[in-house]
Amino acid sequence: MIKVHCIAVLSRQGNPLYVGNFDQQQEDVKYHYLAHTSCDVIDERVEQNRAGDLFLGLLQTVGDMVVYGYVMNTGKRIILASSVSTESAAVRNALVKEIFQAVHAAYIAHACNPFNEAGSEDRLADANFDSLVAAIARARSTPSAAEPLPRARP
Amino acid sequence: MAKQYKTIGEETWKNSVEKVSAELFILTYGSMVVQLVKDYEDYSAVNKQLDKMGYNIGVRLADDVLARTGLERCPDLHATAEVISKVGFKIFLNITPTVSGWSPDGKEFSLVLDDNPLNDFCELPPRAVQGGLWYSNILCGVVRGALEMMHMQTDVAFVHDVLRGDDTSEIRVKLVRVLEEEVPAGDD
Repeated sequence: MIKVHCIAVLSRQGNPLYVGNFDQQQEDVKYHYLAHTSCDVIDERVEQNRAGDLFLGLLQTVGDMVVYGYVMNTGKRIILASSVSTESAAVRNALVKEIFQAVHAAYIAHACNPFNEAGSEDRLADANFDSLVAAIARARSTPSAAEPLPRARP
Repeated sequence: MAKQYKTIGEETWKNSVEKVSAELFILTYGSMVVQLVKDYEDYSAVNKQLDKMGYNIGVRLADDVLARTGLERCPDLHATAEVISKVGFKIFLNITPTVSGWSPDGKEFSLVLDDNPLNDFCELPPRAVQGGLWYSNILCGVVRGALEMMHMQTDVAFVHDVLRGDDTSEIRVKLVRVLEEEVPAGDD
């Protein structure tokens, strides 16, 4: 179980395409800032990561937040910010990786929509993607770890 | 009779049909609809074009189905409906819509599609929903064209569509008349 505070999707250049804030106490701007500062770390990791693994692992720890990174095949990035917890790193990594894969799948489903007018550098303004990512973030915030994460395509 | 059609449909699907990637087909169809929307800018015109395209496909499909399956003449419209659903749709889309909603005079029925593969990934923008776009309207044209080759003039149209927020996708088929003479050329 993992308390997800924010999931953000950034373009290759670091422009925010989507910032989902699931934390009632914080303003969006804090997560924009976090996403921005993670960009450099992501660039570094992508350089080192010749093996082609999409999950980049723990990027940085800022105050009481931990930030994880994931890169899609097209170069777009997903970052996830959550609060520090007491579980082991391996368990957390597996959970976060699962969440990233679900968000990646949701992004692909959104991109495959033939009526999707947005270019790949524009803000992602789709209510369905929004609610899907929110459902993914919520699904893992309670200890019912067994159910699979929500998918767009039934 | 229904069971026999079902078996024929499944056997043909398994053995005599070349398969192509579903995603390729769905994405191609999607981009075609979007291009039509951009070109015509009027959703009822797009519906009409999709129906025309489907009609041209349908007139060719009818012979194809008969050649593959060797089916004989259907005794009545009920049997025809079963063949469309369990053989026709099965062979080409691998779905079997449910035949229901028969009118009292037996000249109208509904095909209820539980799962329309063309709809995968697709989200209609609100303009399209208001404008009355039937995304899978090509299917109506196909059914109309195929039935015309079987000497039946029909009206085929969508009445419900999950992409527009309804619970199911439903196509209504109405028999207008049986064509005794040759199909007139230059239709549409």
